[in-house]
Amino acid sequence: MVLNQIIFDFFAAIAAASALAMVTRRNVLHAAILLLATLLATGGVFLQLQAEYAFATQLLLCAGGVVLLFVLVVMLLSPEALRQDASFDWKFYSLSALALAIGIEIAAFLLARHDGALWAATQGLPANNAGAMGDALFRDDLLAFEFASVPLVAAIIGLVTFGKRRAE
Amino acid sequence: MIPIEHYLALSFALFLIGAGGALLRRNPVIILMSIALMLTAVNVNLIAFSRLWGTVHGQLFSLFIMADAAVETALGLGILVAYSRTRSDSRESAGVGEPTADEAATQPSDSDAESSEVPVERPVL
Repeated sequence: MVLNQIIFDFFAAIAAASALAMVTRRNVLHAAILLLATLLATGGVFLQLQAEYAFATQLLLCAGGVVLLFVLVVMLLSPEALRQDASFDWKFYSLSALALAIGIEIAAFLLARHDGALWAATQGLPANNAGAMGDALFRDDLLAFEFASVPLVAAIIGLVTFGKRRAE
Repeated sequence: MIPIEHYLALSFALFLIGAGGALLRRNPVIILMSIALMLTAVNVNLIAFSRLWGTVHGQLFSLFIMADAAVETALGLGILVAYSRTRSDSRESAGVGEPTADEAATQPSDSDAESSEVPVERPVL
């Protein structure tokens, strides 16, 4: 299981480093590319957790759709959006360092209390993971799946309303 | 197997970075990206616990969260574009923007002076 750990460490390091670089980047387009790297690395963690369906959805919806949307809007708003962000100052560094210190402390606390027997992810899911996912989506939790389309419809209506130019 | 704490630590780190970016940055596009990052961190948690307990319900929830993340990003960026367009429209109607042909023909110097004088307010990006 050393290989599993190495794979997880690889993707987790990429995800955390890209996220940190994304937040501290001044150029919005670079931040979008770094967000793409974070989402892809998180997708790798999903795949390592044997969540193939979530991996595919992450790849298609988040990494494909959302980052594309960000890049398109940045291109639409340029050159204002590509201008350097003047609000990046010492407060960001100091507060980030404080938050990071608290986060490291809590993570160390969690790792120190590691019991092994209770918390090790040993159970696992069956190999036919996507099939079980389909059963859950279209048989057991069909109502919730249908209701997930309500915010999508609301977003479409809202975006059409925003996109319409007001009649003079 | 990897203990669940490692996934929790990764999720916590991602959520922390996202929250810091959403609270401390002032660029709206970066704020939206940070919110997407926080939602991804929640997804990591859900899928790790889904694997721990051997059910698919965590993955189900993560699917809904991904859909909501897409909706939220689309709406936020749509509001941003509509806002910047409304600002530029109001600038044009107030005579701050590009002069029309008549204005340019009659009093070009005055229009140029006005456009250079009035500070153009743009959304903080």
